[in-house]
Amino acid sequence: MKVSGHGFLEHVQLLTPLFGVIGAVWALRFILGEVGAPMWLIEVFSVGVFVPICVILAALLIHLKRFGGYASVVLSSFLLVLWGQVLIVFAISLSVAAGVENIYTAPQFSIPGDIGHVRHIVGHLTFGVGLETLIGSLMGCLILFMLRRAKPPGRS
Amino acid sequence: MRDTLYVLGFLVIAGLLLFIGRDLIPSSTILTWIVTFGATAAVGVLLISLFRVQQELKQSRFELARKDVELQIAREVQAALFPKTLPLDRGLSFSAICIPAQGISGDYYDIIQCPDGRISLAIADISGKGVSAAILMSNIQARFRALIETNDSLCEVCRLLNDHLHDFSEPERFATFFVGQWRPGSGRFEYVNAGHQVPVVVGDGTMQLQVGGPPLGLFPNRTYRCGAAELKRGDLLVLYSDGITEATNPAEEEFGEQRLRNLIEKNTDQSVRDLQRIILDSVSAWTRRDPQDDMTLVIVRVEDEHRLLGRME
Repeated sequence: MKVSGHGFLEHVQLLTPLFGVIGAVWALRFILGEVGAPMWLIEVFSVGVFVPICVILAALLIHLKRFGGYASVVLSSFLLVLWGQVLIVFAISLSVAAGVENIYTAPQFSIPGDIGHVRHIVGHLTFGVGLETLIGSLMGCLILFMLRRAKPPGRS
Repeated sequence: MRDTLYVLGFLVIAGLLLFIGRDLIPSSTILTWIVTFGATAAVGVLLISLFRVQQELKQSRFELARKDVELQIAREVQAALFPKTLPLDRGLSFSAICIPAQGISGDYYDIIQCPDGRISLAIADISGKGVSAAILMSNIQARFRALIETNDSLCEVCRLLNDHLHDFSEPERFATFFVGQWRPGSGRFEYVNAGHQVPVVVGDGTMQLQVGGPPLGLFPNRTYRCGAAELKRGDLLVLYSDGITEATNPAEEEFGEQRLRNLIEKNTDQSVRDLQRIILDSVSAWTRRDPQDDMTLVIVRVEDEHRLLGRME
């Protein structure tokens, strides 16, 4: 499968640094939660905040490296959102398994009566991925469109 | 086409996932996601817009710098067209200057000593200002120089110049032109005035050097009449462009021909160079600002024959 002339693995390679950033933010948030850091600090390192930032950076990378077009932005958005949601789900699962109450299992982000956060996890993997992919794609394509107008590819 | 299908596929899958999980995420979380994405997109758009403005600014600065360089080159090329040395030992002393209003000038003056000993002097004011007028000025200069050296009839020179300008410039372009010719030893000054400001002559009696014809380039196939004046030792001839007499003060009053004439008559005992400085200082004091039009001034005084004279001042 080739999107904008590039294979799936090439897209993954392009996005590797961004996967790393999201992973680092996720880990940092997890650690900060465990060491009892203030809530405002934990909220700053949010996967939910860094995923859209990474989508913008992906659009920038695609533009600067002349990697592809809008289809690549949509695929990148999907992959980054999926990676972010998988990490969140993993954190929720870990917290549930360890019986720890933290920001991932906080009641305000969960559904009442959801034992084991099963519906919460499924919600992230369905609604979360779906919504963020749609909005992320829209945003990424807008950014790519503006970048192309501001600095057409190949113009030094 | 395949990319479009992929995009549509992704969007359909996203839509399906959205539908499947529609009741599984609290509305506060959904709102947070939307706000986060929206705010990030807004910041991204803002940053790109700023980048674009900065790029355009950089481009504008580059264009401006390039135009400055081009203008500087044009200025240097034009400066090279004006005479750097003036005829010596021919019974006349000269002072000449051209001050452009926009870096380069549409005014022109020239003083040429022809191989047969004649001294020709010319002043012209090309309609318009800036680069286009300057290009036309250089064209007139080249044509005039070629014609005057091989043709001692000023009427013929003006006729040929008029036809040349009419044929090779746009209809709205024209030039006022005054050309004079001095034969050393004769005391006779021949001239043609093609619609230019009437020069100021200070000497014995009042002379009006206005015989000639219409400005050059306005009408085709025109003939010009040639005038003549007797100039004696000490007589002063001042050629000028309208940038001098039409210079306005803050109250929009023009400097005027009468004021110029009075100034010249009051300072006839000054050297031509000092007289030039006095006139320019007076105009500058009158306007109290940078020149709004090109100003050209050529001052000629009849001196003793065989006296060392004339240097570019």
